[in-house]
Amino acid sequence: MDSVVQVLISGLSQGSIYALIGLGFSVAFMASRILNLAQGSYAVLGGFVFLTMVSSYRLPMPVAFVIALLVAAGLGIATERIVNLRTRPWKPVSLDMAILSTLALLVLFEGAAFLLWGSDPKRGPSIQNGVVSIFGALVSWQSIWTMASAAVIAIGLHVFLKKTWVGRAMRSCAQNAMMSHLLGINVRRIGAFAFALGATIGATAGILVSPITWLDYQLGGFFMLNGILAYLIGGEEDVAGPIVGGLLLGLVQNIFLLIPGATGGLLKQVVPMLILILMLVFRPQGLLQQRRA
Amino acid sequence: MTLLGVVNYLVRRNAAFFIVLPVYAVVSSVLYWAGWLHSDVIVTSAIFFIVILGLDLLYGCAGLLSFGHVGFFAIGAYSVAVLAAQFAIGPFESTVVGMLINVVLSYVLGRVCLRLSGSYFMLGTLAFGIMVHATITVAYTVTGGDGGLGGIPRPQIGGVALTSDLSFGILVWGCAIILFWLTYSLSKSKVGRAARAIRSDEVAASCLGVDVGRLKMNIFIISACFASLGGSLFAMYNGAVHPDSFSLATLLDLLLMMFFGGEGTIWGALLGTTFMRLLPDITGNLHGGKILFTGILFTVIIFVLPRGIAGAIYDLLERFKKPRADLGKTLVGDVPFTLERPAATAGVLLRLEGLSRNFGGVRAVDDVSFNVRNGKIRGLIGPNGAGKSTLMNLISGTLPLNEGCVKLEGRNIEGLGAHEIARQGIQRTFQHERLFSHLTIIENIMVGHERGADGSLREMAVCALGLPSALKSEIAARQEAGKWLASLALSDYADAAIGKVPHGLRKLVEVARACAARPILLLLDETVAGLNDSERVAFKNVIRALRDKGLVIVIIEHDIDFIMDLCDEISVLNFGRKIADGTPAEIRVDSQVKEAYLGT
Amino acid sequence: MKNIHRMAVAAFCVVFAMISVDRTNAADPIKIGLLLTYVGPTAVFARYEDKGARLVIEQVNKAGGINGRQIELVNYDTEGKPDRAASLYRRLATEDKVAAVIGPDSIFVLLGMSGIPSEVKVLSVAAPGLYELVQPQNRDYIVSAWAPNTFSGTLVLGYIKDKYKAKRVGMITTSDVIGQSIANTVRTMASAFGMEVVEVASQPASDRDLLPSLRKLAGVEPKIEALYVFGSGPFANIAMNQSELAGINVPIAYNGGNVIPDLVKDLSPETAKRTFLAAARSTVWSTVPAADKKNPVIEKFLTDYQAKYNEAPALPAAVGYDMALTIVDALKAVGDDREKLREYIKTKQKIAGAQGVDFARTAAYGYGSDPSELAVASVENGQFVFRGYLKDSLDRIGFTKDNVNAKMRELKLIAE
Repeated sequence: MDSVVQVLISGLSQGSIYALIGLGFSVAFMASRILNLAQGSYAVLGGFVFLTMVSSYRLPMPVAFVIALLVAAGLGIATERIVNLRTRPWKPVSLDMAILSTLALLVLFEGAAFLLWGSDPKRGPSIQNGVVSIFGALVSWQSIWTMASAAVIAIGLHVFLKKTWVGRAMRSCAQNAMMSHLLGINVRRIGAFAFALGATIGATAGILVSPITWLDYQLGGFFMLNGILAYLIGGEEDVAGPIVGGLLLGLVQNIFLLIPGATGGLLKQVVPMLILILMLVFRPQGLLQQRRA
Repeated sequence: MTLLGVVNYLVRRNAAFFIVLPVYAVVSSVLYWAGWLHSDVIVTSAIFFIVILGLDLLYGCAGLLSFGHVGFFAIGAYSVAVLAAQFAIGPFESTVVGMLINVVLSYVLGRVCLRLSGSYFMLGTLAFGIMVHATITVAYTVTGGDGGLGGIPRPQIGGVALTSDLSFGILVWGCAIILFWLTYSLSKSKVGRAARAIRSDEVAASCLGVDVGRLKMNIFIISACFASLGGSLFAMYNGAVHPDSFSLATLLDLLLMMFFGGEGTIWGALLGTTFMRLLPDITGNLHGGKILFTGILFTVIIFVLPRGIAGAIYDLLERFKKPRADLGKTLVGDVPFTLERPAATAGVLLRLEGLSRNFGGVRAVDDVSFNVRNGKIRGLIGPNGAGKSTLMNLISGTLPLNEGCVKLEGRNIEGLGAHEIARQGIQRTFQHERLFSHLTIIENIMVGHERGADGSLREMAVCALGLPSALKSEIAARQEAGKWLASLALSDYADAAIGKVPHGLRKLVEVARACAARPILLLLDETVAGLNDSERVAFKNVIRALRDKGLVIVIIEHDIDFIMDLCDEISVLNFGRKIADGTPAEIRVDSQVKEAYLGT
Repeated sequence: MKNIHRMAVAAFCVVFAMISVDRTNAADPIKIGLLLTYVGPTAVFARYEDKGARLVIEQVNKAGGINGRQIELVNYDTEGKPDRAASLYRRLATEDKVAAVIGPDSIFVLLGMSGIPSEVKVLSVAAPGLYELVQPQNRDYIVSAWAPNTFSGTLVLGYIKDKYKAKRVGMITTSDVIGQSIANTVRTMASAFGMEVVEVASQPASDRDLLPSLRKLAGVEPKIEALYVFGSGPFANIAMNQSELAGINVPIAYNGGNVIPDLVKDLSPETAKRTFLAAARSTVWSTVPAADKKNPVIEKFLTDYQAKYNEAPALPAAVGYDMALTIVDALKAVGDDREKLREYIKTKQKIAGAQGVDFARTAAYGYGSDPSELAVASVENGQFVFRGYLKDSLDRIGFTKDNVNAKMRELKLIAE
């Protein structure tokens, strides 16, 4: 029984990370209708910056955290600028161009990470070391902090989007960029803000997860894939979608570890993709969204 | 048209093939002797060229960006590897097996993904690619997994094993050149035009007669076969396969090859693949900075050379063209419309009975019935939101109807797809002009004349091979389109992009495109909006000329005077219902019409 | 017009001649290929191997080369892509016309192209951690210079049996073909030592939470007395670190790619103390007993490397050194004929390497080196420290050299 609980908790912990990355996607997509394939890179770079600040420069963790977030925000804004290099508010970037330019940036970020930090996986410091026993399963405090942070960020984002002016402006930009522009909303600035916000959420995920899973320069693509999956499974329902999708994804991936032997671990890689295709066929709007007319 | 004339046309149309290949051969020979180009790069360039030919056909022509072709590539490679290792089956046979597997898989994947919108299509195909990679790694008892699978023999031709780079290279380049010819011909033929029409505007394409679903599926399957062949040759060349050769990094390489060369040009793929295969040799000593360099290169390519090298070359050539004649002369010359056949029924051509269409709770079209008679021009007017365009969409099959029926020449056509209705003889224009942005002006009209393409494999084969029958109809289509352009004083703009022609003229080109399809019924949706006064006069003359030649026309307009002057019969819609029907004189005095437009 | 034509032709001829002449050097050097993976997760290994190999070549060239001919290294990067490695290997053979090739260095790359050396008939002196996965028909043209390979890693169980009298072993490994293949080898060797692998738990190599597997192993009754960990990178470190969390406090036998100090610095101190792995003597040189220190090859290597690169060498540097040394030694003996080189290396050569083992590819030596010549090491303060010799432990539990060879034959690691 406790192995089931163990697997469940691993799943939720991993799922929280996917959920955070998916949230980053959601935020950027919400304001710009661009799927930012470089989203996973912010986690990697943010995490690397954080651990370098702490280990090489001996900065206290909160300071290093802020610096990492600032760097991520800068990268997010740079991404938005580059993707929209040749567009106008009335002539938004085409889907293909957006996909390709964010893909190019993904490679660029990966290359920068390789140059700056080399090929070895690295880990950063935990918020709190040690483990605790829950229902017979061993859970590291870092995992608990991760899940808690994901919940807090999700709630905060939800409130932000519903209650603040900027949040509402973001959603209007997504629905009708031209109209928002005519209404006086600076669409570009909102877009840049959304990208920056998405990047900082991604960076937070990277910082939280690096003590558990290590970070290496190639993880950008891995995070991106799982983040997209989380986002698609959950649906476009702003905040709840990626959260539900991410947690489900984490659970599904870890459930297979209950199957003894090598098969379980191997199914873990194939099944999420099958789920994605099934979702695209039968429920492309995701689990939470109502079917649109 | 003599056979010589047809061959001459074919050579001139496929000129790029005859120019690019020799230049490439000469340049690569020079580089080879200088020691900068190695034989393995030459061989692998051909292998990937084959893959990109398929990918460019799929994206450059049909506009479908697939992230999953690495999967087809991998299956082609692993079929050869596994069959050779486990069953000692020779390379040729296993290549065929691999292709069959990929045909089935691409059909299934196509059924699932082709109806998805842009980004979902990419994600669905990406999922496929990842699944293939994961399956290869996972099923290691069969595929060797991370241990790789070796012992793949080279093929034998006439008892001689193709073990050297030279001999295998001849095989690969032979395949590549043949496929290059076929793909290039296809992209320049009516199938290519139909594909680009789909890429530009799927709805307009199907209204012209393109069987969108079928064409997309067939192109998808064919591109998968190309990737499969490439994969099999790849496996044979390396002698072994390993999952790391079929990862997302390879996908990135494929995309770069296509975009750097110039998507849509087909021959650009040759440059793109050679450059990407050569790149590691150029960046050889960068070691750590290599990935960053690739990323920067990719970014630069996307922004500086968005259409790749081939696109940049075309842009350069544009500058050397003669400047075109100024527009502004009033049109129009004689309208070169010929009715293909007289209407099958005398009297009523089109009968609408009780048509209805709901959107959620709103009844956009509510029980509308009227008849359109031969030799008459019928107008359709009403306030904004009355349901006129929706009604037109119902007739043309762009939207399915909820109730009622539509009878053309006595036959029921409601429920047919838009392209089938087009082939029945109904053509239309759109409220917001929908010319095909990926085709030139003359090609737009040619697509009309050719009625798109039926998307069948037979048609694709005929066009790819460049058979005389296909070429003759293409030449005829070009001539007919030329006549239309002459009548619009646009002959100089035949090869121009549609953006070079002002809005008003573009709408007239759209009409010409519809007429070139020789319909028996033409639906015009607010064509006059945006035309200036002289253009409107010219347009009226065109419509009258068409009517005199036997074409039946239904026209939606807001300009009441225009409609009153032009039409023989008018229907008036309001809130989805028909409130009046009759001659212009009758409509003018109808009280319900006045109330609808002016209030009481 | 005509004059310009003539001038153009003349200019072309001159350029062509210049290019051609440039390609034939006066003193006709001996070319050796250097084919490593400089990009990707294993890039750090290539960096060291490159340095170690170049150290040898430089010294030989400075001393006048081989019979007056300098050695020229033709260097390519496989980028971790097996297909690229295959093309490059062919290029080295047919266009660069090398006598032999140093590399490839990664087992994945090697497996993806293991038929090529036999096809082009150029010997590859490679550095794969698992030579046993190379198919027998391809071994004619591939030899390994990696001393602490995975097979020798299984012999550490003998050390643990000797020191801790452990009998019941639990194993955690990766769920891919390599991890599973190692599991089989470990099972065989364990039973040969009178131990038993009671449970094998597998997870994908990319997994970072190994508690499910570790708790499964911890839950086995009666309890396991030793833990065998196979894996590389974070997988292995996490497995070892989390073992204590999972309630496993027994000695750990480690086997895998974490053989550089950089890669083990994340091991917690308590875990590191009870982790044992097979190590080349050069990696633990500072803590090796004084009596053994009279090894001129290792001494020379360490001194020269430090002098040239101003850093302490890690294991892959010694491997690179030995790869180059293998070829240089053969060149000195038989010259640069490809077949003669191969024959010499495969049959007659016996050479002391910088890793502290003798290399010989004869049947008596298996596929390169005598595994029991290795040391057993632990990790302390981020460095590898000497704990004993494999040979001594194997002697004490009654496992002779012949036994080792018999097992290797049984596992099809050596022929006949």
